Amino acid sequence: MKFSKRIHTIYPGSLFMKIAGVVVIGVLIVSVFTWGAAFRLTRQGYVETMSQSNQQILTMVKSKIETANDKITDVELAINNSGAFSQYLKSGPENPKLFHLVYDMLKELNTVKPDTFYDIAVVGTNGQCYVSNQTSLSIPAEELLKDKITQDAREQPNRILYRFVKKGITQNSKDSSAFVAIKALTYPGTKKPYGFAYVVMKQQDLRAFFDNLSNSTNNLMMLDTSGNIVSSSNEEIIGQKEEDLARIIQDMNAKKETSRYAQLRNKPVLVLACPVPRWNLYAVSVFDYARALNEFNGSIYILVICSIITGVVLIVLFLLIRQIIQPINKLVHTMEKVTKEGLPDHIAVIDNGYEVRQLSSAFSMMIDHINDYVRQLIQLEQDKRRMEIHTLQMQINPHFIYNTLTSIKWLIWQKDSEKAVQSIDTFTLLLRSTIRDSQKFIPASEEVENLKNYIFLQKIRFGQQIQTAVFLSPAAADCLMPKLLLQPFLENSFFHAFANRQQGVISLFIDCHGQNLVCELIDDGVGMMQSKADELLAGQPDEDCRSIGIRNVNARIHLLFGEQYGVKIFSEPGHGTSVMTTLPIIREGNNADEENTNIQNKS
Amino acid sequence: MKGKRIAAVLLSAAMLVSMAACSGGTANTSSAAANSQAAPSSADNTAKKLTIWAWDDTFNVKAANEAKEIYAKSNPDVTVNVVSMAQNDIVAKMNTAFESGNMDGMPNIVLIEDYRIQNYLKSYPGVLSDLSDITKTDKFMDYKLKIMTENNKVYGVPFDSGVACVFYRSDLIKQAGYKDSDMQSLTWDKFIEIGKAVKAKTGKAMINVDPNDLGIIRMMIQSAGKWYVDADGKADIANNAALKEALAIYKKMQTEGITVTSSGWDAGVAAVNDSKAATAVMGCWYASSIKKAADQSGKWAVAPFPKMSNVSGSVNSSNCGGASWYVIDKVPGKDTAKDFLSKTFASNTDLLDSLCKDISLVSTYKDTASGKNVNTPDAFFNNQPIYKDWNDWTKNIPAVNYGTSTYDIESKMTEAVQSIVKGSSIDDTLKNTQTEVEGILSAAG
Repeated sequence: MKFSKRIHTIYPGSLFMKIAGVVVIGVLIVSVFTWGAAFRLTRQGYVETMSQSNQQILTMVKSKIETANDKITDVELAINNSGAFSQYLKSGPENPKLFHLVYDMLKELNTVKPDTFYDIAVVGTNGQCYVSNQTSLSIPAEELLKDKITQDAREQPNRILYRFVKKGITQNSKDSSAFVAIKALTYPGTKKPYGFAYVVMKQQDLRAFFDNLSNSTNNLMMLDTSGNIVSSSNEEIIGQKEEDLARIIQDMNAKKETSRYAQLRNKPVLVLACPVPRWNLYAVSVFDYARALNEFNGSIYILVICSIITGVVLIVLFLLIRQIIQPINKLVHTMEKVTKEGLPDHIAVIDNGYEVRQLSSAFSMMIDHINDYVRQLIQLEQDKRRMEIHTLQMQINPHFIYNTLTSIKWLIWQKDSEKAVQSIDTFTLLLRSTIRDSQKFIPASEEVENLKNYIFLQKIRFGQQIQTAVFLSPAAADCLMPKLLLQPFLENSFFHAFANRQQGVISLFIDCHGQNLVCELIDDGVGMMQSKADELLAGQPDEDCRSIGIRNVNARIHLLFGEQYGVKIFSEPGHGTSVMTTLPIIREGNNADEENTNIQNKS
Repeated sequence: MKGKRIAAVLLSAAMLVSMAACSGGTANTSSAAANSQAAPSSADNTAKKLTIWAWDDTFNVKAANEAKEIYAKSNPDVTVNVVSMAQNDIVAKMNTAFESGNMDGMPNIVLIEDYRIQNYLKSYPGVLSDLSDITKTDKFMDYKLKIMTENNKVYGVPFDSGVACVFYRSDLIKQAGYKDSDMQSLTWDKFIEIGKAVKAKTGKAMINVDPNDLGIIRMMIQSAGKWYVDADGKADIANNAALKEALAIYKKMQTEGITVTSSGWDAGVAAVNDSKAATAVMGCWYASSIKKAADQSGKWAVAPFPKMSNVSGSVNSSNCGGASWYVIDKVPGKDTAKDFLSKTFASNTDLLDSLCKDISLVSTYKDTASGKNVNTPDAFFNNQPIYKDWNDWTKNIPAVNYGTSTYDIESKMTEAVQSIVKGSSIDDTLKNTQTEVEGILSAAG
């Protein structure tokens, strides 16, 4: 998968992780604060809205009650001003006009169109009574006349009193508490009542003013001035005394507040109160806003929305950041590859964003420069080596030429002109082979020819006392080797191995051993200490002229083929010396020059 | 690359905006949810919840509750809610709902007084469901079916019979020198004669009258197959011989001094319970009020309604009040409502028989005549099989067209009665009333 393939760019501490970390933390912080702010504002707004709507509800309840109260007042006054009622209440059952009175009573009462949800009871001091709504008094008229509420009305004949009774005074209302408006019926100008008019409203009917406006969190209730709950949408608390609430409301009333946040029964509530003046009541809304907020699922809604948006934004940002980081990662990988795998020839410029492009092109340019520099260095090194080899080869020639010329001089001194001519011819052949520079590598067979020419020349000098034998294995015949490589060893054997003796044998073996071409030159001369032999290879060039040739050969081999190839000398005083030269097997099939270059490049 | 970065900035800005937006949007969505919750699915004619409105806790509300229990046995998944309301409230709410065509808050089943039903059937066609398929016309009494039939469709399930009768104090009648047999097959002339004797011998009135309730006049005219309106619904006052005779009898009772006046319903009951009147001429449903005076047990008896001897066609049978069940068509769940009625009041003789015992129901369902409770004698009424008697008398009730405006006409009639009792000529008064009633009826459409 593309994603998983790229996921390895997320290392701890990587740029991606840092940027992503900062962005994620930033987005989360913004989200949390935004959510918190929205949450708070929503809740505040909700509580305020609810508070306002509760205020409106209370106002509505109040106006409904006032409307009903106006009607109740009309009813009371209609009864008070009704001639039919006053006559009816003062007459006995035998009044002949009763049939018409009763008709007129209702007619006059109906002019104000009383509501049906309250019962109207009219009781005369003589016990005559009338009750509307096809109901009757639940207690005998005599008892009602003695009741406290009637007594209160008797004392204030010109007023409508509003009272609460635990049990309604009509059959309809006797099973519940009730609200009663009482008026003593008097003639104008007199204070002695002839009867009492009661308007009886069941608690349920009072509750109907606000019941459908109440809900589980907004508890609407009617509270009298001493804190008794007269009516409430919550039936259980009707009749309870709420002194705390009454105190709060009275305080609010004194300070002319319409709402207040308060603690009620250890619950935070918003209390709204609206006095219903004539009834000596307060319409109260106790808004349990904490519970309402719990029921209000807006906060969850906001949380979900915020989470979704945050999630989407984070994913998008993640992808964007990765997109932005991608070129840098690519650059990092390219650089990593350089440190692991060495310099490539060229690095393509990553054209993806200004900074990366700059970095990448700079890096690419740097690589190119380094490559150029290295190439120059290699060129320089190669040139240097070529010069060195050349110098080495040049070192051989004068020495040899000197020796050969000495030999020829010796022949001429002996007046052996024929041999001298032959020597000069051989020498010419040898020189030609040496000077012919185009081919540094020659097959072993050709080298053997050169060596034989050389031996011929040496024999002129040393005579026939020194026997020579050259063995070239047919497998090694076509192996290539630097020309005149073995000549210095041969020369040394001639000059030094038999210094004090007249006779000796020099044997040369050239053969393939595994991957190597081994040339071994063995003489049975004077030999030397092994330490001396080692010194020949390792010593300083100008210390002993004898060692120059050997060291040259060894250095040449090292330069040409590497340290694993070279010359070894084994010797023992009196027993002769063995010089073993190890070379790689190179055949004609490979271009010697090319091989040469390759070898040099590797070093 | 730059473009992407700008996009990212815009995106985060959009996030913040949408966060702010969602805080403002929640109030709307929650109120919208509340609205959708309130809206009923009108497509479905079945419902898991039925509401029934009735107005008398001791009578029709109790009956509805018993029906609810029976229905719950066969349909436990349906919740039936019986609501008790004042009849005036029910009428007011129905008027409002039917006028506006908005049935929100209306019940599935409502009890409507027989006097009022014509108004609803005529003024608001289609508002009540056609119940022809559940109300079997051969099973109910004709006079009851007639008032709820419109264009040959039956719109209701009859509930109670208001068969009229004379509840009388057997002891007082005997004190006045008459026997129980004298109370059978009464005429109003005979009734007044006995009343005078009662007044003379016992000092008690013969009958209680409420000047604001002309029930007795209505019973009289229905006994002659007449009403304030004729069969076509036209005002039938000035030339209504039965009405004239009824008013004459009413006035005569007053002038003969055999009445006691009461104001309001309960005062009337009190007059009877306090032995101020020897009789009560009422619908059979008045029995429960009479029984309130437990000390008078055994003293009461029931006799058929008196007929008017001077009016041809007047019989010893009439009706006062009574109501029937109706289904409001547009309230979701009408099929369930019909199912409820068909399994209870429209067919269940066991229910009707037990209601006879529990609420003294006199049904108009013919098959109840054989019920056990219907044939049980009542100790309060001196072991008279009153339910059986009422059942028998119900069969003879003349069917009349109550028309659309009984109560409006009655308020005019109450006024007329006042002037007649004061001494105005019946003919002249009724001519005026005829005009007024014609006005009412034309206004009612």
